[in-house]
Amino acid sequence: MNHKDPHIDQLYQKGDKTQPPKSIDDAILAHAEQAHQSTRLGRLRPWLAAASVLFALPILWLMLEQPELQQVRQESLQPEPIPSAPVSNHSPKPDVKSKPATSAEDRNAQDKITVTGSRIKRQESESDMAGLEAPITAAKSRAATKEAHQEFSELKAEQEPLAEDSLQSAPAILPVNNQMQQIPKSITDLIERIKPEKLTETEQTLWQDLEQQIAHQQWQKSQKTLQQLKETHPEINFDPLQLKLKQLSSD
Amino acid sequence: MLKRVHGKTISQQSDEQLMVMYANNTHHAQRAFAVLYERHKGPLYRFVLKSINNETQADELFQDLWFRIIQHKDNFNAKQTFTTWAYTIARRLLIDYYRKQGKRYEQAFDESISEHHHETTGHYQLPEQALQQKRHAKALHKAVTELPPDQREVFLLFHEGDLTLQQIAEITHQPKERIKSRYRYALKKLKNTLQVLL
Repeated sequence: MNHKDPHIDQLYQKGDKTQPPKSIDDAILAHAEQAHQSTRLGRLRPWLAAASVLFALPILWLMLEQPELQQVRQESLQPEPIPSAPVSNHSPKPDVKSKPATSAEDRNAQDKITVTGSRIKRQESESDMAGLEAPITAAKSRAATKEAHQEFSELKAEQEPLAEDSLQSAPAILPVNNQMQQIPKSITDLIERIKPEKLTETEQTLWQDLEQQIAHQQWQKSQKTLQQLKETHPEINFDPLQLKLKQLSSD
Repeated sequence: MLKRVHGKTISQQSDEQLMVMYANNTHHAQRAFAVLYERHKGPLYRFVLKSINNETQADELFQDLWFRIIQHKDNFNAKQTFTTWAYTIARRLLIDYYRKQGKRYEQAFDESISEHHHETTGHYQLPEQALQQKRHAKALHKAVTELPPDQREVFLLFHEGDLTLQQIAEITHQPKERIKSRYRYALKKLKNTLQVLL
């Protein structure tokens, strides 16, 4: 049933035929196209995800099937033994990381350390920049550690003594075993540097004895106490202290 | 070159088919939307414009309306007509608009007539008959803007949107009989106004 009044309808249709501005037409059509394109991409997402899974799965499967890779994986999962460090000293400061050279990367990094008078420069290793590398085997790691220790000892022998102020001003750039490079003037400073923060009662007594003996210039006793301390703290390198004590006793 | 879908050119497709084509992102989606927009832009624009009597605001609302149609294209139900869906969105936008203005939708139609209804017809001479018809049409449009809100809404949806009374009843959530009587009252008032004016 048509409810329209023909006269009114005819008159109304002849009247106002206003249309939206052209700019609005363009904006709406552009918006429609944009929405259409983004939805098209959105609908492809599940397919892209499925494709990437299909691509990744065979690679993973191949990696797991390779016996060499499995061996490497197993070795890398084994806990790495902490190397007994004749050179790598325990640092009394917790913020200074005394990290033994455990890989060829570190060895390379140490090769690049240049010591010139009061300045220590460490060139940024390319391997550090890379951030991630394939894990090396534990055996290789151990070999690299030994090699690194040896080379570091040679390097140490070539180095000139460093000024203390320069070390204090730039402790963060010091590489591993920085304590070895620091030869303080005062023996008490040396003790303070190597003395661990947390001590048991027995250890505390030994350290106090040592300090008192040094204060009273009882060199022989102090060397005996030092020997005891060496046994108590096998992780600490007492060599500089021992050297200093020998010097003082000979003087 | 005419693009054909299922043996018909895109421009021959129904509104609902065009909307589904656009919503489903078919190959001719953009073209389908353009055809749909071309069909309905005029009536929808005039519905919005005559409802609020403010050209600037009408432009914004009209744009917003189509943005919503685009945004909610996936919600379009092909069982309902496109016009019912589009005018429902338009009506909701108008209700929101009046709410922001601090008015009730029903009260809003009591506003004064906009300036665009007072535009001059031009400086050139028209034949007497055409001029008279134009004057009558203009008077009618002015009378429409002065209708009570509920009657005005029904009249605009009926004449601009080309909706049936049943569809208007669905959009406004009113019984069909009430819509019918509103339209009858609207026609009566318009005729009376025209008789007085002319």
